[in-house]
Amino acid sequence: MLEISHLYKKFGKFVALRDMNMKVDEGELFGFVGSNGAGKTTTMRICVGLLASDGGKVTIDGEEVLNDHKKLASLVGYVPDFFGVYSNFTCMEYLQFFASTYGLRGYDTDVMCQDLLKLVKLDHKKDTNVNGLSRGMKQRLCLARGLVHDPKILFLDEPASGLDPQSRFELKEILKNLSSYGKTIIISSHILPELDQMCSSVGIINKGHVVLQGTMDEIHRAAAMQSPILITVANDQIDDAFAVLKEFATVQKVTARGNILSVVFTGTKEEESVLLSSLVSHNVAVLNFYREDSSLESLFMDIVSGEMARKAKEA
Amino acid sequence: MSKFSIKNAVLYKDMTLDMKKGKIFALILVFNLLVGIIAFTFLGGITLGGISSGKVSYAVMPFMLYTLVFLEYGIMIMVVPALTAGVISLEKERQTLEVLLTTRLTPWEIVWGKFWSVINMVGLLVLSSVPFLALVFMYGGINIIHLLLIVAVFMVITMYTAAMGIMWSSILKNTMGSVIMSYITVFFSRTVFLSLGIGVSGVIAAIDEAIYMNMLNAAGYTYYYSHTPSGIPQYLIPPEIGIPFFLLSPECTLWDVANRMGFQIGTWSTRGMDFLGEIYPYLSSGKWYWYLWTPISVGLFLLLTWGMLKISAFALNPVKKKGKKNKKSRVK
Repeated sequence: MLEISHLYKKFGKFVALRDMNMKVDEGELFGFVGSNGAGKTTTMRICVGLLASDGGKVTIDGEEVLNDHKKLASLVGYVPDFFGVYSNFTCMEYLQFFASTYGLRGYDTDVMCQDLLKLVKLDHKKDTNVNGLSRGMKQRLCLARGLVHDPKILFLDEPASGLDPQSRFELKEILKNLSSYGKTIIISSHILPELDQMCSSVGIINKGHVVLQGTMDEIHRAAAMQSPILITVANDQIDDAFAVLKEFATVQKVTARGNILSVVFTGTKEEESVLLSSLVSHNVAVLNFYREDSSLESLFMDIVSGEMARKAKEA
Repeated sequence: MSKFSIKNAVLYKDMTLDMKKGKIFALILVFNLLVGIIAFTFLGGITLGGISSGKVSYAVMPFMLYTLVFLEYGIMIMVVPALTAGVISLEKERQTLEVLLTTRLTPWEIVWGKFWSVINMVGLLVLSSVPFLALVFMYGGINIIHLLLIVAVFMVITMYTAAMGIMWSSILKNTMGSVIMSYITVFFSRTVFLSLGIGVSGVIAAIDEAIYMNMLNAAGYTYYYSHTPSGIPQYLIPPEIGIPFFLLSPECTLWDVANRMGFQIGTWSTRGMDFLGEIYPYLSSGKWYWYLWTPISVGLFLLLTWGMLKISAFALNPVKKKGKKNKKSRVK
């Protein structure tokens, strides 16, 4: 669906994007993760036509779109990290206006706007002035605005920023709902646990290029590879445990800290249970068996700190 | 969408929703109050003069027309920059401009919509004051075509003024800056061209006279105003070089169109701008450009307006390096 190839962007001497490559398939709820200044917003703004790239290309369904504004605008919807609203509009008028910017007017469009308000749970606020909405409601209205022309891809830049937990929850439910309808959604966010829960795939960007991208399963496996299994065994059975662990091809590395064995294990959850049962069947007294935190957040921190450590080493 | 519906979404929004604001009605009321007071003051003076002297001075009617037209012009140059200077910069400050730029609207369509929404508003003001202008019909001498011509030229000058405000609003980031620059540009453009016209024409005329005297002396002639020897050009450098500056002065254009029927002040005939020929003897009256003054001037204003709107659209374009395809297409 969306393919970004070798995207490059420079602001003066600062290189915001360097050889940025990313691919998002149709129907994915794609989480775009990165620290401040990593290049998330710059990438999004280039993809929606608000910024010119200095190199590379962006294709949607195989077609290069950055040179054709009207085509690009028809294909993408954008919900930025600020609420751009007209204070003298009602919610319905707001959607009707933005529908008209895509050439949509008339009875069918009015019905569509009402359906969108229902989708974002603002149908009861149809005739309410936009100024009278809470922050969360404004964000939902902006989401409806981004969908008014039924785009193929929806970009959301920090949609949950500044929202209270209930608003974030409501927004998450709406996005999951949209994703179930087959809409391709790309979200940039700092709230990693929420992305972890709702996204089908994730791309981690650092210093202007994507360092890791994949489905959530792939990402969790990658995270798992970063997080060892810690097995506590009886003091006199360390060697026995080593012998059992060596038999498994999925055990990459074993280090012992006293009677705690740190095992880098690349197998699946099922293979983990086989590992445990194998230790037990070889009469190794397993006192504790758990995997260190392998969340998206920990992976992200590892990647960022890994970059920082490398930089420190170079210095 | 019906055949006659407004296709530009920005224009449609401004005309239908923004027109509901109370300030529009207040503006129309204040504008017409001012124009009405002046118009009825004139009328009162004519009537009282007629009662006391037993005769009506028809020559006052053109003065009434010029006064009302230039009063409206004065109000326009005060009001239009204020109306236009914030049209784009307010969108930037409200953070709605970027959202608009991600829609199918091109920067040109946004600028065009904003421009016409201001022109419609000012057009509404001018239209509302036409009954006061039409008071000059009471005593005849001025016809409806002439009045409509004046209104048309007035609107062209309004467009020229509005384009300045929109241009600064697009270039600058904040509304205060664009208001200041709009007023400076509006007043500068009014005074500079007039001054340049007078200055350049005068300087060239002085140079021509000096050259002419030298040539006369060299040929052995004495300098007489009444006799120009053949073979010696009186104006080596055409003094009409200063005319283009006058053409770019909106006041001159408005004077020309308002004064087409001309009137007598003593021995002076002041028909349109060819009265310049009376003021500057070196600018011969009766030449072709005197009769085409208004069309040429209006053409120049429209060209400049177009140019400024193009600059505005360019300033708004976030992707300046790559041109936007499909510029002519509109949102359908």
